[in-house]
Amino acid sequence: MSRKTGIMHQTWRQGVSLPENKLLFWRLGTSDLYVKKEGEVWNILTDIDPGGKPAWQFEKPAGRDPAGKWESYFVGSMETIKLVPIVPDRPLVLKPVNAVKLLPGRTVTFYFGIPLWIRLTSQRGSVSTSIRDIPLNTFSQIWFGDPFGGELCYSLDISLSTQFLHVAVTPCTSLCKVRIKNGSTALLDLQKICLHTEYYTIFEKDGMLWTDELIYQFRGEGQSSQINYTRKPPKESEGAKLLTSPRVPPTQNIIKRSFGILKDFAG
Amino acid sequence: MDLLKNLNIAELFTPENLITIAEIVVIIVGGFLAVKIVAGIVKRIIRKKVTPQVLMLITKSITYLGFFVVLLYALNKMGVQLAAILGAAGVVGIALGIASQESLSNMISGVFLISEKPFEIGDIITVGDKTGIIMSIDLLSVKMRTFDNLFIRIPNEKLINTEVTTITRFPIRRMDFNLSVAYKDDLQKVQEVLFSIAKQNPLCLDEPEPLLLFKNFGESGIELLFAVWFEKSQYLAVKNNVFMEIKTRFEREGIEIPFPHVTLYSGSGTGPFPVKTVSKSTRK
Repeated sequence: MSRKTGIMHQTWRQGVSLPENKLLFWRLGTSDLYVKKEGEVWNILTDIDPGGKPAWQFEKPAGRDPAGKWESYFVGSMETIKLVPIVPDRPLVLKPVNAVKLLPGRTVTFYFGIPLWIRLTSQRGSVSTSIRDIPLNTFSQIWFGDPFGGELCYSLDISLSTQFLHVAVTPCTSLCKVRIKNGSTALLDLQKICLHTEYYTIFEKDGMLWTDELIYQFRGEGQSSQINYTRKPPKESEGAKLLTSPRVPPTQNIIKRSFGILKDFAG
Repeated sequence: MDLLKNLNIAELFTPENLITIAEIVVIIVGGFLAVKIVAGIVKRIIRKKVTPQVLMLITKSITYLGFFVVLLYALNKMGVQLAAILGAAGVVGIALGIASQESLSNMISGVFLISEKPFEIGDIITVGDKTGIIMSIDLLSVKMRTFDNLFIRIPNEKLINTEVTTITRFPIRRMDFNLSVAYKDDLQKVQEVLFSIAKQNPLCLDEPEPLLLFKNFGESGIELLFAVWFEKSQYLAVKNNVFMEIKTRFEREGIEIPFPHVTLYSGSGTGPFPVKTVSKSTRK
């Protein structure tokens, strides 16, 4: 279990001044990011290698050259570049590796890691402008819900743990604490859990990333679940500071159909 | 000519008449402008609340009705007897109605299409052997653009009476690949290869799960259906990627895609041409 997550700590907090005509490199998991400043133009190239060995480093290994299509952004002068972690652009459907069932009326707390993306921003004073989002993982996709009213999500096979110290994390994984209440009279079979990550806030403490604590209340099969976004870090990371705001600001409680049951509509 | 001779310009352009003419011009110009502004405001207010075709129907109704009222008011100001005009309009309306039964039928069909909403602007539909993107749904006809950039106008009445397939109605679709493998091939291996193709392609959805159905013991091989689900906008990418991947993986795994062989005879008096398949290494 790797807990060495602090390598990105400075990067999240501080912008990097781009030297003129010098190639900057970041290895972020299995993605390589190259940035080169030429006057007021930033040339950016990302190269994702899904089969590559994940690594986190800021120095370009010898012999590795950028391959792919560069994109040029007219940013302006006197700006710094900043990388910030951000949740993926679609909801995540967690598929527990082991069958997990929750008895009626019971509550359980799970911890797991959410793989994050990187948002590239330009920073001028206190104003940051988003340039582009870089996915660090290639997720498979899943349709959550019925074929006409569901939503497209990323699929993630995951181990649910009741202790956060057992969750394996990388520098760009956010720990997530979810409390699930089975408010129905039936057994809750957690085959799939849909996380609407677009409402998640990311906090940081000592190099560890956390999302806000979530409370899901299951009301019965086929019913909508009530989701409470606490919008503050869990007590395990007390004092953590806000790093990234949600993609979509959440309302007080969001009713979403969050627990999936396997439905065979493939035929 | 006598009429023109008798026309007294000086009498026509008296100050009172000039004022009336000015009023009529103001009524027509101002009225038309006001109608356009009202239609624009209504359009802006309800734009996000209704579908594009309902929006179009409402704005056109407001515009035409508004223009009609402005015109009637202007005619009234000119001193024209409206009762007579409306009476004549009734008679003309009946005559036009009889003469344009098909147009009326199309209009009524158009109202049904708009209320029933079998498709919307931007949807891809198939009518008969034509497939295209809906450009507009008007009172008389539906306009669509085919993928080879042809413009097609389909009368609404035809759409009401014909089977229409709305391809983009649902957000996800299933793509079917009808395949055939040789009798000698291991079907378990075929299944594993096909499912791994779907699993490794990020555009193929994990759920609904890919489908594999062994259909028939065919003439040349075992026929099967392999189907993957995808998000509707990814049609081309999924079709090409999965197609190429099936061919590549089958070749790599030694799974044969059988096809009928044809033996040529040069005439009734000759035997068949000898045909032999050779591998690359033995080819000269």
